[in-house]
Amino acid sequence: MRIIKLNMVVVLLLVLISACNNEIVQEPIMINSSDTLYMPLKDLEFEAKGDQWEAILNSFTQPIPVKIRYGKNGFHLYPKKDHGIVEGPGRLCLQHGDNKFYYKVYLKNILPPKIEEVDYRSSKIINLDSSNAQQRIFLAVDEWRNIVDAAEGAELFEEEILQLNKKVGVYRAQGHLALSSYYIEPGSCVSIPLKAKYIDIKKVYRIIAGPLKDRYDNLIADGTVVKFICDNGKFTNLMEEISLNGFASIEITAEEVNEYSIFAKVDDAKSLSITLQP
Amino acid sequence: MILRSLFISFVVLVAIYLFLQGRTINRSSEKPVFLRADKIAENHQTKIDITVESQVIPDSLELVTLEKDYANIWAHLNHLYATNDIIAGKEYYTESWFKQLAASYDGVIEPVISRKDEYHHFYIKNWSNDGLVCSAIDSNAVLTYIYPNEEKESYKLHMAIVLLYQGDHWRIDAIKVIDNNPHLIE
Amino acid sequence: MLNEDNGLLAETTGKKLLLIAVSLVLISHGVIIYFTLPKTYDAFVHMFFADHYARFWFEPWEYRWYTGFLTISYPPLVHQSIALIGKVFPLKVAFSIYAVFIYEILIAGVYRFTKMFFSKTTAGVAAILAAVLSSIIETLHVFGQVPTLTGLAFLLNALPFLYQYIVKNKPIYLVMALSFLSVAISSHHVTPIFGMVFFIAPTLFMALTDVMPKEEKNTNFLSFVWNAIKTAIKKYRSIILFGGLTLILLIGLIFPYWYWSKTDPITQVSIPHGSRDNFFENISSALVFYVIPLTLVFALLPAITYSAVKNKRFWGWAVSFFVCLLLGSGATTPLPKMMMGEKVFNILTLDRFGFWASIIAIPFMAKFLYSFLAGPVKEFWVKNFGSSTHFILSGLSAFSYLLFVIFIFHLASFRPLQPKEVDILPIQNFLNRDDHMRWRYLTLGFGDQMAWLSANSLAATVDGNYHSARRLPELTSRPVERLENAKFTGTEGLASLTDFLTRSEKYSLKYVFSNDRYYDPLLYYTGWNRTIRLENGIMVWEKGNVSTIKPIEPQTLNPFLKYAWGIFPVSSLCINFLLTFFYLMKYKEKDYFNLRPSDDNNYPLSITYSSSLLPLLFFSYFMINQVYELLLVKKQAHPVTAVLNYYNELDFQRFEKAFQFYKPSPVFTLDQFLLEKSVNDGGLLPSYAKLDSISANEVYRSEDTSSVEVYTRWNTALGHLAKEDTLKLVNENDRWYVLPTIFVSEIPDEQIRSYTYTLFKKQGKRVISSFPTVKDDRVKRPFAEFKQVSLIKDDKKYFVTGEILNTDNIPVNIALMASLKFQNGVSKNYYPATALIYNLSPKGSSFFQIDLDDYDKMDSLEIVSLDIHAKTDVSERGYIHGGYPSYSVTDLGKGEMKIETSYYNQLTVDISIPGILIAEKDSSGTIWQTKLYLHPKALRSGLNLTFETKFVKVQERAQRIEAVPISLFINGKPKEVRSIKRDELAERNKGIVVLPHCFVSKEIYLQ
Repeated sequence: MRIIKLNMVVVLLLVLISACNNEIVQEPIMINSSDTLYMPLKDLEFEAKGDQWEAILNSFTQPIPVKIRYGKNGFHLYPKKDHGIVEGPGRLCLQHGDNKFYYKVYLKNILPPKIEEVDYRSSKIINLDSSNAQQRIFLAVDEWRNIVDAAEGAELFEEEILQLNKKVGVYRAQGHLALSSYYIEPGSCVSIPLKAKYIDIKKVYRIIAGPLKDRYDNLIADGTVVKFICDNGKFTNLMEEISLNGFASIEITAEEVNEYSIFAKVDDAKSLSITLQP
Repeated sequence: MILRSLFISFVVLVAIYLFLQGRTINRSSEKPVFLRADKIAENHQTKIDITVESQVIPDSLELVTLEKDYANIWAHLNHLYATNDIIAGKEYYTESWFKQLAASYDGVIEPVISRKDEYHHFYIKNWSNDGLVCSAIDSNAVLTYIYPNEEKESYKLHMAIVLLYQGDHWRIDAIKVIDNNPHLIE
Repeated sequence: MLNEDNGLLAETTGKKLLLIAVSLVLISHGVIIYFTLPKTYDAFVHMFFADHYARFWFEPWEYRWYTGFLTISYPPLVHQSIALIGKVFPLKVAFSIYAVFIYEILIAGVYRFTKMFFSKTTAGVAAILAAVLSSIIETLHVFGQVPTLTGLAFLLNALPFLYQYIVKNKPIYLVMALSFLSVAISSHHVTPIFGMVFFIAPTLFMALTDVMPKEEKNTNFLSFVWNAIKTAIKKYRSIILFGGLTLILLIGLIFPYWYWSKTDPITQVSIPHGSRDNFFENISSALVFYVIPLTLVFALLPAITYSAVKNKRFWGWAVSFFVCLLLGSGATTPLPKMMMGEKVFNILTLDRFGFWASIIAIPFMAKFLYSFLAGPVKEFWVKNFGSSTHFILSGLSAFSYLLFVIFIFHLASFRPLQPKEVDILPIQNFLNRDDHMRWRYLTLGFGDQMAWLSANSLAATVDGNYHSARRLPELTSRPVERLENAKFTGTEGLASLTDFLTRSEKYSLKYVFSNDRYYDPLLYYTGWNRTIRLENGIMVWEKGNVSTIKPIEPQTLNPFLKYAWGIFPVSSLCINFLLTFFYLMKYKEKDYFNLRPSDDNNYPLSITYSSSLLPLLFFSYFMINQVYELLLVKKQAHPVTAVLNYYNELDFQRFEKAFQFYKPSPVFTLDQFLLEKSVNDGGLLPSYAKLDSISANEVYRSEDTSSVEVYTRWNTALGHLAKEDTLKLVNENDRWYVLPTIFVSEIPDEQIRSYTYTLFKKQGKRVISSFPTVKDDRVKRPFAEFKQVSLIKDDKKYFVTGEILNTDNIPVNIALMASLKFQNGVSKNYYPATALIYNLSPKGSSFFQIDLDDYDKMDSLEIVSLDIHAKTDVSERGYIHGGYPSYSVTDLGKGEMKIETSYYNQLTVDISIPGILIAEKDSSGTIWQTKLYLHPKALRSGLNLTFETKFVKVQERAQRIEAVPISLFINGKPKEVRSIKRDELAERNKGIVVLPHCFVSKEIYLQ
């Protein structure tokens, strides 16, 4: 009786130990084996036993979700999503319980992706006081953020310095893209023509400074401060006005005028003085 | 007795009213950016050599920022590689890059193969005047793949990279692995 | 008649009264609290803390106030409990539920506390009294101090157990006493600490008296005290055990708090508090901190004193009561300061002592009330004056007290403590969008609602509403509770606010939500721009060139402390509930105060009279006085009174009431008055000033005419203004009326005016994405240039002067910073205040002055170098600076100049504050100083205004320091300075040049 009991214990122990042992699984064989896989995956077949497989496909940047369909002799891998990827070296890991098998692959996109040409301009704002040169960095990227050759035989990155024209305006680096606009802006004011007009109806003198221009004959920027300064010997009158379309003006009531000498300034540029008679 | 019953029923009434009015309220405890410690970037180590080959030369401060951000970018690319966690590194991705990652996102996974970047030699090819665009070749970058059985494989490879300065960081915008057969070094 | 003492009737009556009290609290306070809490001082602060625990239970670092502080600086239980209720109810409701729940525990506590003194019926009366006691109502509905109430509620419940423990020596009573004390410690540590002296010591004394043999009690004073000491020595084990365990709990339960106070001691200037005032001098403090909580106590003081002194077992309570009453009187007498010492006196808020006095008085008050309503006192009244007299007396007393209580509930309406309720939703939406949370914000004129905003947003503010946690030097060095109400904290408050507004870069402070236009001039002249007015009427001000908040490392704290803070206090409450349940089921004895002597509800005749009549007298007087002040006071009885009241109405913008001070006339109607006012409105003085002080002198008086000189001092956000007026008054029907001054309005020629504005619109992000702005949408930092920079030393002052120019083609916002490096390697940054035009149109320039530290400070540190950094940002706001100044300068001798300025407003809007930025130049064109002068009156469109300014030149005495090298940086890049040029205008005007720098309050162009 004792022996029977002992035998039973031994048998039970053996069963337990054998249950702890890992099942030995054979490495699945890739049918039509290739170093390069094209994404999205099209029916990647493996010969393997069992139906408890898990697959993890790593692109160069991230794991790509795939699903498994089992067939007679193994299984097929399909993409979960029909997307392209960042091309580059990848890893496929097939897992069955604790058994893991790795396949080094190179992943490429199968479909011709949309290519976006990017034209980075620096500076976007060209102030003619400094320079009319503009840097252009040009490259092409596909929709999956792979850098591609912009043109046959071209470098991946192209760079050039453009000499822009000196005409103030808003221009586009890429004709179809408002976002690519760059701006040529006027330089400092160099000439300040000043004239005065008596407006009878209002009984005022209108003093007009303009057209205010930079050295390339562009009208200066809207909003520029034009200082009209006049002195009647007793008081110094400081009138700051803002230019619009290259002109700034002030009005002085005629009865206030008692032989005024008046001039206009934009930063350090100064007009000639004119004298208003009462 | 009557008073006590009245009192108890009154209290019960108030309790029932409160019970019926109650709704589970969750107050967000997501901390703002400036309090979120980027542990992934903090725990990451690599070596980066920078060579400037661009026409416009960045100043030393700009290079320090670039080096730090490039290291952080790789910290997050490695984390992404192992886990598909596209959110953690969002601060270091441009919108286009993030959208591309999101296309292949199917939830975060348990890491199987992980990757470490040991070394980069970063040749700056173009540097924009305004300091917002940088294109470069990361030459002889050494990447080590670590398998679950602790087996390691190190590769040397060349990459072209476009980085854009957006917000407070350099962010990765596009990449190209130049060699089709990365060179196994270990 | 309810005069049974220990019988069954008393048992049931006491309980019935308790149930009534509990129900009364539920239906009255339960409903009212929701409506009074927004107007309380502290409710929102506690809700903010509760919100903290609701979001970050185990993380005591709270980043949202003061650039971060530790919440372990305040016991957490109340906040954690509200946070837990807040998991199911909105925060305000959760607070209300918690407050009512605590009130109920307090009622039970008062009932049990009173049972130690007198019969259960008296305890029932005490419970009802507690439900309507003015001090408790004020603490909850006016102050919103739920932690104080929680601490007290649990302390009162602990005392009977302590009494039982000393008397009966059973461990269960010790456990229960400690359990209740634990909750009190976890809620409000101050209550049990002071409670040791004012509540626990008298309880011990009473228990010792009760266990003393009868013959030892009935001895003279000295023998009695000696016998008490002997009994204490006999009971020393129990007392030491209780004391020791209490101490352990006090330290252990809130250990992180003690750790914090040890490692981070409070070194800040004490903040004035009304409870420390002399109540004879400051009537309003007296009302809030003494009259409201203690009127009933004073009315019943004869009865309280009689009961407390007559029986030896109450002597401890008598001492405690009178000391509390004395300490609560603040600086009315010098005694509290002498007893506590200057330092402690200035840290503590003393109203708590008055509050405790009122609580200690409850049993004695209840005893008298019981006797008055149903005991010997009633019998006396009925016997001598008839039952109707007693009925009328009781009715009137109760009615006047009811009115008094209603008055307390409405105190916030009669004397507004808080601004009107602000709808915070638009602000929340603003903070949530467009990454606005990456910067800090500041609210102005929100009152305690700023805490409510914080509780509902994850954005951070530089301000806060918990002054113990302040650590920023700009705050702790001044007696300023918070920046938000700087208007009410005088010069110091505004100086603190100005520091933050000018050093905004240091704190990444980018947004100001202003609910009070008082601050507009300060904001504008320190470089802030209005951006939008939110739907709730709040104006959002923004500062350009401010960096986002740099990553912050929370103050590290041992994880054990974090978990201890999150677990121990709440556990104390849970254990207390379980123990109470266990105690009620298993241990509760029916009549456990068997040693308590039976009540004697008789009072001497004088006490009977005084304590029966005083409540009616006091409360009727109080209410009549209030009504009189509100309605019947003769505001025009004397010319000076009339003038003072007239200014008071004007200050609070009650124009219709102000108008009633004018002599009624068909010519000068309300409409005319308002029209004339509107024409003069808008200037710094009429629209942005608060009356600080006023004095009026009658200079002439005939029978029915009078002339009064009025000297007023006004606070504005930019400093004080003084004004002197003479008003003529006439007497009619015994009232003095102000005669309107003859109004001559200046009229422009034109009926309709036109003016061309050039406005800019910054497109912002064209790529609509939650990612940061893409390269193509980023606008480069505009160009700027220093025209000159000098370091000047004038007497004891150092400052940097210069001129900066916008060389770009778009308007810019400029941020300047002077960085001084000293010999010892330390560097310090300084920012300009009002002496700079921060927004400049293309090719516009501004003089500037950056004040550095005084000579004394700088002298000890030798300056090595000076860096001036300018940062520029595109601005579409603030570049319209107003009219045409024309000026002439007269030399008054000794460097003093008189600048006569005539301003013309060419715009189509009024110039609210005409101003000039004055620079003093020498013959070479070097700027020696820059000053801003603002004129207090507005300038209407198309009109002229003339004013004179005194200006003292410094170049004769000051020194331009050329030995210190100055480096200039624009947007981080080193730049050269232009060579200084002679200035013709300065030469023509004795070295003085001016630039227009005006504030236009109309938002159409969002200056």
